Amino acid sequence: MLRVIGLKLIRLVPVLFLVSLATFFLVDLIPGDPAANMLGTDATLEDLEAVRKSLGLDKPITDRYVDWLSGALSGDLGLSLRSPNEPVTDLIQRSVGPTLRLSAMALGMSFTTAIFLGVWSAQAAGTRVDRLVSGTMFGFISVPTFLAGLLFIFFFVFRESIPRWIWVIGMGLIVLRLLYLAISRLAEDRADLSGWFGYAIATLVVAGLMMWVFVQWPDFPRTASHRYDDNWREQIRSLFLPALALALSEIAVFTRLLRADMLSTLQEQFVLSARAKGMPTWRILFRDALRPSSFSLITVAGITLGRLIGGTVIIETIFGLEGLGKLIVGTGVIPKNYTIVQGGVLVLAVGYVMLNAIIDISYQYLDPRIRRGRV
Amino acid sequence: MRSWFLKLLALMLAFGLVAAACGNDDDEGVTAGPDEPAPAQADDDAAPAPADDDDGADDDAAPAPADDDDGADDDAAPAPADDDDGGIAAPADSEMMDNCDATVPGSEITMGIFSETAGLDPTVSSGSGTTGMIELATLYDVLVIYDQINKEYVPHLAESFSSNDDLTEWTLTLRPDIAFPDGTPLDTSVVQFTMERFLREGGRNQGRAYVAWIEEFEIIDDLNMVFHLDRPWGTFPYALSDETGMMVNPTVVEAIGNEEFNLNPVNAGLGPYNIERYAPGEEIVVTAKDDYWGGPVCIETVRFIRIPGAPATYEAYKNDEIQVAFLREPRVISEAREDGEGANGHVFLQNAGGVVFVNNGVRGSTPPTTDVRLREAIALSVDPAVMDQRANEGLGKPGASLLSTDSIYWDEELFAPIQPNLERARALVQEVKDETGWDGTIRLACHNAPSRIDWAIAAEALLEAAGFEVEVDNDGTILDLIGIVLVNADFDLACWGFNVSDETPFIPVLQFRSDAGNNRIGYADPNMDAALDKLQVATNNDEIQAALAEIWSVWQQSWPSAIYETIEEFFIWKPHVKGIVGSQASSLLFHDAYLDQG
Repeated sequence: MLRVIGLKLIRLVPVLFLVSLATFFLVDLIPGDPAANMLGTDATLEDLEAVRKSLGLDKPITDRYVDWLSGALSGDLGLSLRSPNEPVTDLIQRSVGPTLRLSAMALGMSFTTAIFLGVWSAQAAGTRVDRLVSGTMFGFISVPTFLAGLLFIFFFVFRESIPRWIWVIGMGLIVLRLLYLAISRLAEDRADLSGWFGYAIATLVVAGLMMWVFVQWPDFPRTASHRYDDNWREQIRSLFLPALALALSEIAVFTRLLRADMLSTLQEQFVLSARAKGMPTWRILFRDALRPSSFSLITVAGITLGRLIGGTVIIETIFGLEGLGKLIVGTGVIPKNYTIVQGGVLVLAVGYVMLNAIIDISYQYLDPRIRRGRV
Repeated sequence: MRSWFLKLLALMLAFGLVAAACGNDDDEGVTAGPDEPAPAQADDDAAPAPADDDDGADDDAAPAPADDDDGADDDAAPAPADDDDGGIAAPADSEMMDNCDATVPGSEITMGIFSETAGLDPTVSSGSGTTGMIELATLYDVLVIYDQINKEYVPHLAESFSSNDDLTEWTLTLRPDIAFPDGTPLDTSVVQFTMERFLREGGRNQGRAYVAWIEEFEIIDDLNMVFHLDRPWGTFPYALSDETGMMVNPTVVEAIGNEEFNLNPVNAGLGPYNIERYAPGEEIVVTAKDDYWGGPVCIETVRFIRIPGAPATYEAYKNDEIQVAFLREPRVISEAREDGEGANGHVFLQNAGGVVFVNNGVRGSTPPTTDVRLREAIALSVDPAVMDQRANEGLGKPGASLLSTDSIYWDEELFAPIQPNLERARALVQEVKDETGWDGTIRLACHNAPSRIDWAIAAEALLEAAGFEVEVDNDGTILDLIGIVLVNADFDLACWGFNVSDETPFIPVLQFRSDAGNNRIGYADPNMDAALDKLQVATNNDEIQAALAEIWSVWQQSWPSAIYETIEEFFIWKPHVKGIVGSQASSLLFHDAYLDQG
């Protein structure tokens, strides 16, 4: 196994080298004078020349690439070209945390919701529940992220009573449904209390959850501020809305993907065999069928995480979160602050490549067939 | 059974929605406190909410940094050096506010700023409250404050200041016994060190232009010094109230170097606060000093954050995530006013804050607008009301005059706005076309903020109605526009602002001098130079008004650009936040701020 992982890591070297080439040279091709950008509008020609020299812009481009790469390998990505001229490494370090937290939270929300809905939908394929889930997912996928963010701000921050009551109604419906099933079960066979008891417990749990959330409903902030670093509860409260906005479309994609794979898996012999043996449905679904159905989901989730880390600029802007996306676009691309773009894109690309390598390696664990094939 | 169940669910859903719609929404708005008079509040009932420009993004390079005041109490005047004994003295200590005995532990306010400073070094910050002056004032304090209530400069770190008769020598006396946290005393060498840094470090702050007018710093003793200027300047105290008047600790600067000083100037200032955290792009956090020379600092922590866009800033204010907000967009200002905000706050007006910037032939360029007839045609065709309707939904403060009606210098006859006259504009354009063979093409540069796109559409329509063929370039950002106008000087017309402030109208209009280094349009008129000379030596309200009137008169003969609106800068704070005062250049001072727990 270690050999396989080692080989995969070695294969990353040329990829990362190409990434560094593309990052440096593509950004270098963007028109504009970094020195002029750095000095602003009152610069003299002498000032410009001096800054160009200090930035090494008077050297051949290959020399500059080597300098930049050697700096990058030692963790030095240069200085921001705009005052206050902070080290780019510091800027990235500071902004990557909020973005990682946001992305991880969005991915976590997507994953957990999609697993529940996807499995449920596959199990109830063709029923009204399945159609309801599918329709809802179409709705989710049709809502642009920025619109979701603005709607969440409007409803959760400024009209918080509406989502609060929608929660109560939605959960109330589930409670009623469970109650109805419990009563039906009792009416069918008064002697067998086991089924009735299960539904009764579920009813109580859901009703309790409904009331608890209703009572504990948090005041969501308009802005995802930075002052929550030491308080995980505040972090969750602050990041909940932006994460939900990001998660919405991912939930839809993941759910549909998992449903399709689950439908296929549920036709497999081992599932039929398990059903024939009388195994409980939840066990078949979550312990036997879910794992082999999750390859596509994990692959897409990996890609999604990489995309989220670099692509949250809109949500970060809407919620005022100074994350990596906003750093690269807002502080780097728009004001033509090249060192930030180079450093940020390099970090993203390396992260993306590493993430996919990890996913690749995780297949070894998920599927014994792949593992044996390699060995 | 199933259909019965579905009907029940539908009924419950409908009931729930009705209940939700009737739910309590009262947490969304904050009622302004009726009992706290604003320090210097504009006449809110009068005109609709004023105009503004972009949304604050990338504004450390904002074109025109200066600003002005709110226009209330119009009979008062800036009175820099007009008293009988030849100087202006600081208020007695007993007059200073005393709202707490010590810093209140845990007290904190957050302010939503307009745009970020380029650093915490006063020479680096590009100036005015829009770009860092408020934050910097908490750290460094200033020698002189512009009192927005009495419309005069009053000493702060200084004890007094006065000038000689021809306004070329200004004597400054410092308060005794003021020291930096490390014990370095505030003396005249600190003042000289601070001001000379603007020349030495070559930062972006506009202060270096007028510090260069100081020919000599004559040190009399530790507390007394004389500034010898190379020209008379009636409102020199402005330089003592700007970033150039923010005293920095030479010991700290020399110990940590300029780069570190720009990022983490601990113990480097005399302000009520010390830097706690500076994370560019994220926040600036300052914490109260326990030995501030002006007495106890009541609020322990002040946090400055920038929330992109005025709507989001105001929403965060309504949600109580920030307690002080800086709004600059007419639509949002109007909304805030409708919500009852403004009773606690301060309004600054930027006269001539919206102009069609016209290239008069800068750096030897030969745009069609070198012809004065075309410049007049542009001014006559740009209808402020139409521009305001398109760009600000009619909520701005349109007006084609050098001064707003709320300016303390306003006089209806002296500053009568230019009336749009499309017929004359057409005739002038046609005359030039016939005479020179010019085809009417003219380039209009702006940037891609939504309000500016609307602005460009309106300007294009109005100019084309007068016979121009307008080529609009508004694809780039505000930085691109600055590059086009200031760096490359490759434009005919551009969206811009002059921002003529009441505290010191001289600094912004100085750009119209034929020999001014910051003359961005290549405008040159000896009559304007003469009028500017008069403004430079003006010391009282009447003299300043007369000089401005002459400038406006010359303007309407040589038409340097076309003015169409005044920009309003609207600061609001929660009713329980007290003691914040406005100074010059859209800046606020927090040294007397406190939270009213009652």
